[in-house]
Amino acid sequence: MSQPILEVHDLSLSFSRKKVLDRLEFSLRRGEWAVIAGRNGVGKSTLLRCLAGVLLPDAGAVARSPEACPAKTGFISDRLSLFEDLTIGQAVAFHRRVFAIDDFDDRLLGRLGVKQKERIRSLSAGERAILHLSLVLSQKPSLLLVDEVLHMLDPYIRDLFIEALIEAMTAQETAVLTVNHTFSEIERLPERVLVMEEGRFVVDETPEALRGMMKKVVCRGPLPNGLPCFFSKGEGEYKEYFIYPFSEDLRAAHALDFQDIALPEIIKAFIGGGYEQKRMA
Amino acid sequence: MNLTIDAKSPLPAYQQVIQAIKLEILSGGLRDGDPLPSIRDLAKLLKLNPNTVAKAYYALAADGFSENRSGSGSIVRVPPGRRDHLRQAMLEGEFRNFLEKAVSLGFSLEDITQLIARAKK
Amino acid sequence: MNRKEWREVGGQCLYFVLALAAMALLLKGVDLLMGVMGFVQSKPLEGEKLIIILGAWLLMFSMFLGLSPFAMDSKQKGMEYLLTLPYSRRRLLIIKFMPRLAAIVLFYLAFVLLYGSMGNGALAGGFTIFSLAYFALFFISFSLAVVDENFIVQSIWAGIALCGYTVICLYIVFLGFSWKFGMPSSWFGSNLWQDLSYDPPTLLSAIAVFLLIAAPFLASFFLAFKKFDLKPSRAFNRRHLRIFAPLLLLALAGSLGVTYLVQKSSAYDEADFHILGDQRLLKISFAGKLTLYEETGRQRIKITGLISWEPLLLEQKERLFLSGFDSKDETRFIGCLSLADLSWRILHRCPNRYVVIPGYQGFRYDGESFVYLRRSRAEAERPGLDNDPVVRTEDMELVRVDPAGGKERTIAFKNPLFNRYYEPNFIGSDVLNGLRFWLVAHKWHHVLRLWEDGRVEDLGLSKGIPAYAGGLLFTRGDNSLKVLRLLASGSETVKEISGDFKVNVFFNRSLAIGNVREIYVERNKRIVRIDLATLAVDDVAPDRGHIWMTSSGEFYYVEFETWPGGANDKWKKLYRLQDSKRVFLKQFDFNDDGYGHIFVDTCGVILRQVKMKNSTVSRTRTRAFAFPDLHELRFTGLN
Repeated sequence: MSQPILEVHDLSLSFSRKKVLDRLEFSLRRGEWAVIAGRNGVGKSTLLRCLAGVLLPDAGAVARSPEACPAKTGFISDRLSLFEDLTIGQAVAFHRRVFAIDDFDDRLLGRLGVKQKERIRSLSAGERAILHLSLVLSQKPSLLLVDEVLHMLDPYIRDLFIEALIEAMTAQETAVLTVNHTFSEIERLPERVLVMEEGRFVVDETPEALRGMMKKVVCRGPLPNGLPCFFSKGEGEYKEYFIYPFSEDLRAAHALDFQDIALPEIIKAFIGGGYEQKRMA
Repeated sequence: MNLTIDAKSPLPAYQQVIQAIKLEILSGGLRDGDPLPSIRDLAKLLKLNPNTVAKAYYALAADGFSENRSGSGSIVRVPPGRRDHLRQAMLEGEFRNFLEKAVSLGFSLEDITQLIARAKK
Repeated sequence: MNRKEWREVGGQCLYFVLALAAMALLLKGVDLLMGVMGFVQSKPLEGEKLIIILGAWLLMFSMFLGLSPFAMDSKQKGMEYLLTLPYSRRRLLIIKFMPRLAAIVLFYLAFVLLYGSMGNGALAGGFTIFSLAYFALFFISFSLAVVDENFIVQSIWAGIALCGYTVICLYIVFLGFSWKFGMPSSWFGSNLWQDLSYDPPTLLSAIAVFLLIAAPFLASFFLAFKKFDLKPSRAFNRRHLRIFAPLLLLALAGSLGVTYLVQKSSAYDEADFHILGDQRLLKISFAGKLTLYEETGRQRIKITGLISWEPLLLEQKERLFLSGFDSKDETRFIGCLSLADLSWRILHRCPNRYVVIPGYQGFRYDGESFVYLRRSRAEAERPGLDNDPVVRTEDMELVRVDPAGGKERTIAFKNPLFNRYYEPNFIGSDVLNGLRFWLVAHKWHHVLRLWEDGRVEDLGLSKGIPAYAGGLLFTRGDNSLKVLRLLASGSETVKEISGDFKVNVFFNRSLAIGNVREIYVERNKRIVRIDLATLAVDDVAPDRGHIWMTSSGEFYYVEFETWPGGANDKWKKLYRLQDSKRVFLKQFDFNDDGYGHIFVDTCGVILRQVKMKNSTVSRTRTRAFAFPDLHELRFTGLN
């Protein structure tokens, strides 16, 4: 699990004269599950596309270990791009031929009850996502890049999706990199949380560490001095203050109730903070 | 087997897994020689990262409560004498939690003793 | 993925074939199309129409196939998926390219078979151009396959690129022509395509140019594609352009170089040479240049204008009269070059509103003045064939220009024969009873006598081009030569000599050949002498060459080694014909300098040798020999 499967150095990419990725540094190890979070339009999908080879960087390098070659990299974009005129059977056959896949596990598709003759164009988003996932997993990938697709899926398909990912991780030690907004069902899955802002990662921690580093205080009136408030929310009497970086001596110094917050809220705070910084810039 | 992970709990997920499995062993749900669910199955069930489950299993094995059978997963081991020791440790843990909670609510030691006496009846 | 591409391409081909079939049915009324395409001059055959329609359709198909490699993927929203497949960008492009190239080639071969089976070579030059355009269009369109997300915009860019490409290629080809012929490129008109296919060097260099200029499009695309991704096309286009520009410059340099080398080495200098009375040599290049050669050197005579010269009109003491056509204002003129100081002045210019008949070498000298026929341009340029009913008026003008001062006098003539297309040629001039007349041979060799006072006399028909000498008109009948004496009015037949006659010596610019006593003509493949006084016919020798008559009325005979002359001939012999005898003068050996042509005139003989290599002119050599002893004249810088 310790060898890096992907190493990104100094990655820069501009899109329509806007710098989207700015000397981004990042590495991923075998079997690691990292999640990328950030506000809309910050460049998460762009980064994923860059790692998948769909977009090419202006500067910097993406170093892949030999096991993360293009044939062993799976990419599911939020556009769920496939050849829409093909039927499911044709798409599977095409994918198998191109990637030289001997056996194709169609249990996932079977659970949806879709017919081989149906055209991709007529599938729902969820069915397409599962199809895409089946195709990509049949490659036995060692690197999986999944853009934000979970929110498109109904709860049952979402479950199937996540279970399939877990299966891949146990079977192949697949490294998984996902982009997520919603964390409701997957908050225990990522081992690393990366928050993207201004074209690079501003946070790169384990969820446990993050939970230790950010606490919430709800009180009336302003916050006492000396507390590093990263982000505050609320218009009324009671405001939510997110303290980051938090340390235990702050608990001793101030007689406040520092609440533990779960990962989704931490992420939300980071995103909110990002918006605030953008407003002030 | 009753296994849920409390997201709000300050306890990291893998520790919760360890606790839950130890509870099962204590309550007799898991006996010596029973197979533990595969990492894959448990991860899928609990929506946990397989590494997390692996970590828990590793800790269990280190503690002596499981044995790794290469190829066919892990099986439960209840080392002789460890069961009682475990029971003791778990109770102590719960008791400490109870005390902390009571103190934070403002109860004194006498109040707590009275509560226990009343419960005995 | 190949299977997918082949299937896609196959579908597109099928679509096109079906569309073509539908269009063919719809276009039963093809005359409408012909009007639109402007094929006014002649009515092409059915087969030609079909070929042209098919050709146009194939060009569109070529462009479509070139622009569309990513169209289906984009339409199916599978571009992102496509880029995640385990192919390098280069491999991806090749997978896209190969099936389409194969389809293009297959359709082309089918078209060639169809074209060949129709046995129609009339479009030969055009077919080469079509083939080049067809492939170039595919390559150029393919290189623009991702220039924009919008297909319409793509097509517009392809159209612009193709126009630019065609203009550049044509410009280089025209430039090559101008290098080859030493003429400015503005000379070359719409006959380019026919000319292309008949001149191997031009054709080969044109093909090279078209391919060389198309190459940068495709090469730069393949090179730039390495960095292709889903960013807006502007970024990729910029990169593509940065690679394309230097490659294009390279291709331009290469094309110019190839064209220059090929055309210069097969340069063809069409020229007339004249040995002047002072034994200097005048070279009149068709391509507007006059050069005077002396033993010590040569001198270019600069005359402004875009002139195509005609052979020498008249040499008088110290003065040369030259005629030519000035493309700048499209007028024909007579000019005078002073041999003393090489000064030049225009003696007479036929106004643009008239057309000199018959055009080239229309000016003649009748012993007294320069003379030519003309009619109004509007009349002359009206389209129409010989068989059309009355197309023009019956008017024709004769203009006389005084060599001394350029004063002109015009006589207007009217005759029904003038309303047809065919143009009259002068064959002689004389004075009878104080009145001058000119003889012209007209359509189907009607011989007309145009009198100074405006009368037109029809002297009858001649089965071949007639001749006039010593007051006698020689016309040809079926297997006979009719000799007529011209009277004050009409003519009388003096003699009819039977035999298969060829009378073709009387084409000098001067109509005044002085007092000749005898003429030499060919009868039944033999040289015979006709005494102009007695009209006695004497056999001289077998005719295995050409009979020449100089402007001073002397006859010469050039004998060929083999008749009618072969590329392996090694010599030609020159004889003087006099008093029924042929006197051997000189043998001209060709050596290794190529087949030689002999030109005989008053002052001497010109030998022009043209050496061919692979059916192109590799070098020319000119030698001059002066009468009376035919010693060779040496000129610096002649060869």
